[in-house]
Amino acid sequence: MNKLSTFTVFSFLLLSVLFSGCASQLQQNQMQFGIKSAQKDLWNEAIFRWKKSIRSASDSAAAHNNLGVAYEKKGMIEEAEKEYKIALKLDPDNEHIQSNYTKFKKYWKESEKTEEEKDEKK
Amino acid sequence: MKNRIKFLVFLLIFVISISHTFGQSIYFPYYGKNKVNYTKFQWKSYKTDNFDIYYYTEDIRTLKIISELAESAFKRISLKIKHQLSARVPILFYKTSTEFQQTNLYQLPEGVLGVAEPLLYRVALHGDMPIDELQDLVEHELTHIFEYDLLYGSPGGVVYAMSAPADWIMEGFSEYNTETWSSWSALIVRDAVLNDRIPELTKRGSLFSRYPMPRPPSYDFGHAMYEFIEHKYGRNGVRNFWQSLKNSPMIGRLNPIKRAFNLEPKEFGHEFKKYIRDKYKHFLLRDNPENYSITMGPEFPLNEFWFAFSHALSPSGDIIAVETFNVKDSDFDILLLSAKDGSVIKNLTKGYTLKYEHIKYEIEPSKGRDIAWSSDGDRIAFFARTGKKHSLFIIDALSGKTLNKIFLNQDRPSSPCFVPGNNELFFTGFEHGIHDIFKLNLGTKKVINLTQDDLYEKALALSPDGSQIVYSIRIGTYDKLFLSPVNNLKEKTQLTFGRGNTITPEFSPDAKTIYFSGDMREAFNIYSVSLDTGELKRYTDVRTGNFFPVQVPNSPDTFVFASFNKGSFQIFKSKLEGEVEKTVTLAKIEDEEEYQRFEPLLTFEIDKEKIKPCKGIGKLYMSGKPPLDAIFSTDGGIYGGSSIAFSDLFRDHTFSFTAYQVRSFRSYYFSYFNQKRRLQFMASAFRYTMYYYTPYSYMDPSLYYRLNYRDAIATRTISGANVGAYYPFSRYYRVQATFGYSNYAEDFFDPYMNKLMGGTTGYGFFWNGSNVSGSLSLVGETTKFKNYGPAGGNTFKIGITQSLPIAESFIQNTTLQLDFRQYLYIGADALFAFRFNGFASRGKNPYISYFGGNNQVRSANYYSLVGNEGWYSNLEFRFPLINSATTLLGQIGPIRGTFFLDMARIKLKGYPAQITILDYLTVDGENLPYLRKVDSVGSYGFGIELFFLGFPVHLDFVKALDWPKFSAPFKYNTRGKWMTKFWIGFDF
Amino acid sequence: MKRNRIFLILLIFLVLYSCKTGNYWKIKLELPVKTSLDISRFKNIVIANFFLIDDKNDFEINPALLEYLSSELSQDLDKNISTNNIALDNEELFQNKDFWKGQAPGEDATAFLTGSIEYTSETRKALIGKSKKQFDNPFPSKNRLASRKFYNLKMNVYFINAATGEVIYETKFNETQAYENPNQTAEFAFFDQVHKVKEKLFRQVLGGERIQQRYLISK
Repeated sequence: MNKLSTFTVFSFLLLSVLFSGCASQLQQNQMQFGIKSAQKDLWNEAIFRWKKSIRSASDSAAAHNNLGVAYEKKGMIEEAEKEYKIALKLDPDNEHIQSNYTKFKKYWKESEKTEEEKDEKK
Repeated sequence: MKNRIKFLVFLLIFVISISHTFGQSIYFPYYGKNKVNYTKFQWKSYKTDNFDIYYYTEDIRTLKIISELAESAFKRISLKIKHQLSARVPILFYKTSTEFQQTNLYQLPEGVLGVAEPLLYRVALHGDMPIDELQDLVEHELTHIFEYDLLYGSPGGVVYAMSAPADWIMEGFSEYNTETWSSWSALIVRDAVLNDRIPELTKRGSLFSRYPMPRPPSYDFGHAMYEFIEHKYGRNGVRNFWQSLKNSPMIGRLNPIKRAFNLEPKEFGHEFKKYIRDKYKHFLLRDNPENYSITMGPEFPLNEFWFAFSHALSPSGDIIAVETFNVKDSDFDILLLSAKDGSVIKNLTKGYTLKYEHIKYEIEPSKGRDIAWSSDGDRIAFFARTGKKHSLFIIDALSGKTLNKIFLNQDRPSSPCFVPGNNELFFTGFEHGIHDIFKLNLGTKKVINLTQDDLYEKALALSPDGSQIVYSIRIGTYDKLFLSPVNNLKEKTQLTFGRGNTITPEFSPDAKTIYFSGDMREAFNIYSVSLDTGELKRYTDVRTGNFFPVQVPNSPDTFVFASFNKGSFQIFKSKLEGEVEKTVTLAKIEDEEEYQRFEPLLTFEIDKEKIKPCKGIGKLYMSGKPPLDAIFSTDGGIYGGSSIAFSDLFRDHTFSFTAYQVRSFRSYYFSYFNQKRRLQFMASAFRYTMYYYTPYSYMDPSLYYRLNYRDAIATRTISGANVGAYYPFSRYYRVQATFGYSNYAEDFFDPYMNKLMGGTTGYGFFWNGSNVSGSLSLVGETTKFKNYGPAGGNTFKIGITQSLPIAESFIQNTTLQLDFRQYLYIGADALFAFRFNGFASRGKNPYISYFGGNNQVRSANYYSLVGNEGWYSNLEFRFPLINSATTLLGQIGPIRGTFFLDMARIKLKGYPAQITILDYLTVDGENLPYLRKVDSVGSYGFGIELFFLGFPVHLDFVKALDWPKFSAPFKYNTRGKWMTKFWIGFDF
Repeated sequence: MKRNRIFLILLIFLVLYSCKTGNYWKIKLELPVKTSLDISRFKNIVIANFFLIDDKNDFEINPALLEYLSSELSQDLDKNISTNNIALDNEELFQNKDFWKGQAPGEDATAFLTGSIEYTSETRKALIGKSKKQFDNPFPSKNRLASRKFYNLKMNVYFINAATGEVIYETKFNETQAYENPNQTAEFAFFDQVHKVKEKLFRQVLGGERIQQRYLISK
């Protein structure tokens, strides 16, 4: 291989990979738009998009997980727990879902426990 | 409106008639977009007492309406101004706005309702509006005619005028004579006054606004100025003002305020401001829109978007889709904004597209929204201009990808509404001159007219379940709200009554309440009417105007709405509490109910005998004041020229005569241009004298040292006649053809040169003889222009010219030409520009083409690269340096920089494809010149361009390049010192 | 050959990197803190005098405290906030339902905010090592006697339902702060400490937000 052809082949491959091969990652879809909305603190829109995702793919652990996060943000604790549990059931080995649910329990359940203890003391 | 010759028309005539002079395109390098005449108008005329009405519809009712409106306007204005016109007024009436834009009188942008010109006192207007608004328009344009008559005395008098009054004097007077303030005009003025943005009167008496306004201040503030004059000096004050304009010498027209009122413009402006502030002071205690919430973008100049023309809320209520104007790109865009903080989430229509010319917009809110968001959250609908009319576009709400495009026959469509759960869409539009409600099936693309009446329905909204529709109807001079079931729009329930307009209705999510905008308190406020109880509530008390209230889903007291603030519409989101004003009884309207109609002052019957068809060309009139043009080239030559044209009343037929001169060489051109139909044609006769510099390299090289290139000037005179035709496929692409006879006479300009060459030239390529040829070209121009020149898109021309073998002595050749340019916009007004221009002429007498200098091949002398075949190519990177700068000489700018690279090859028949260049060899410390042959020449360097008095001025720093072998493009030489080149001309 | 291999490895790395799916996003959530008291049913909050335990201070605690609390509550609560100089003789009064019912007869949606305060101070001295350098004393001496003023604030806070006279919420605070500045007054120190009490009390009663991290997943 001479210099010019090596350089040409390498450049061509590099450019085609960078600009076209992974373009699917850039496609807007309901999940991505929901995430973008959540990042902008637009939780109603995020819920809307993830619910749509679930309607078209009810076995999407990601959508259920994200919906759990959104419900948590809106203070809808029971709904949040329900979604986390479904997400875990669909993808039990997913460390991110596991982390979310653990933190969820710690934050909301412990504060409930503290309240119960206080009531009992009274 | 002042009359001007449209330079592009002249340019078009110029370009398509010249088959072999693309060298001259150095001066005007653009081919222009096409004005497509989709409709061939069969004009008819009808004379009333004061007007010659020209129309083309079959419907006599249209003629009756326009005649009555015109005569009514004439009577009222004539009595008010106390002046009688010196001539009859031709009125050209176009049924629809899209047909109006096909007029050949002017190149009209979207949104122009009518024009009046002073040369022939012509008025042209269209009828896409309610009758009362059409009356106002007729009065406005007719007042211009009265103005021209007062100023210039008669039709054509404007040709001798050396100055003209300020725009506000003309437009303001026209608005004043309508004796009507539209809600929209009042809103603009009120907003400016309350925000202390009243335009200033300059020393020369013009109105100047420091701040952007939705339309020039000359209209609305001009109107207010006349009301001020009437207020302070009475009606006689207005008449005296015009008397001072009429009687003053031409120079005196520059300060009519002083003459009429003995006040300097500044003092007059000061008094006016006091008056107008006092007039609106009772609004000061009302809501300031900025108190509602933070502004939901657009926030020009904090971002590049200005004006929220229309908005739609996402089903979740968290995102607002807004139609806005992108100031940086000079284009309309649809943005997604956060309803929380107004930040821009995405621009769904970023960049330029050829799918449509521009997104349709309405400034005036009463027409309704222009975008809609489907209830499933996935689609956004809007209208955009595509050729003759508009199309509906449906795009993906998340990505902006076009999902559907449906061409519509209806004019000025508006108010799109998705039908929930159905593949249908409702909209309003004009059909056969009537504004109705339509239903479109998005799958079959079939459109049904749901109202089919002569009422003006607009601004519709559908209930969330799609079973009901609310809309406004123009009753008399007011807009009122009506409710109907979707499956039967004949069944109407009136929701609002009394004085005031009620517009932009929206359903509440539970469909029990209609929210709308009403001007019962002068300013437009947000109201609601309960469909159950008839309770009318008012939610705001704003100083300017609030429109398009949409209740946020799951938030009963929170609304997103548009408010007019500081010269534009902005979006706000606020919790609003309503106050009950009264309870209305909703009235079911019977089918046969007669609605109040607008009646003109005069009514009469049409005498059908007097209707005459317009045949032939008719009388010819001068088209306008002859223009003056000037260009400066790198060889120091100055191009100067002018032209005069005559056309018929409709400017379908134009006869023009052009004369121009470069150095001492004059050219003349006469043509007839017919643009009545889509296929346009012309006939021309011409005598051109052009010049170029013969390549002395083809002569005895020993002469190289004794002569410079300016000595080798040769002239070419072409006399002849031809016919041409051009057919536009669309706004961007066309085919054009010519056929004609020409006689060529070429020689050296200096006869001594001829002797030096021994009588006949060693050069041997002069054409002398007759030529009959035909040419065919395909031309495309999608280039987007900004104030500095091309900014995106591409331009091309591919053509073939064939000389016909009429006789042995006739010149014979076949010539191919290709001109291609591509512009790649990077952003921030920086772009790459690429050009390839090639030609090849073969045959017994191959055609000589020439180029060089300016921005073709910068290192070459002007027009010194001469040959039968050749090409040149340019690559430039253009970028902004300074947007504008104020200097002692005036405003200059923008100032832009360029990095350039160019390359060229040329070949003359019988010689190798090489160029001889002069180079220097250092021998014993001495620079000795010698000639060297190379395959290609070119240059690189950088330059600065600035605009001065409208002319693009260039200063380039150029280094010469040459390529000994074209097959080794990376082996090149630089040559000589850096050269400085100065030229005036347009970028390619 | 070696160079080509390097190019190939680099290319593979770039392919993998650019094709990285970006499956998850960390997001910070501001989650509401559960309040210990549901104050939403009350329209009016009346701040009553606090019972002063062993008051030896040279400034009036109650006016200062009531003005501070009413101003802070007005900013954070959309309710009618007012003050009332109710005379309190002893701490047992807080459990006296009839007493409090009589303070706002007929008012259903009113709650009293009151309590007891013990605010004391003492000066403590000690031998310390080398002092910090200061601009007016660049060469401090070693092993010198230094003194600090300590202020201690103990508060019992009660929310009492005016309709029933019952204590619906009570909480205790104990704040101590030391000052090197011997001129620091008791009144100024009081505000420093009551500010800390207010932060804790309001978090308990009005709630607030805590930041938590979660993961959003795209696939």
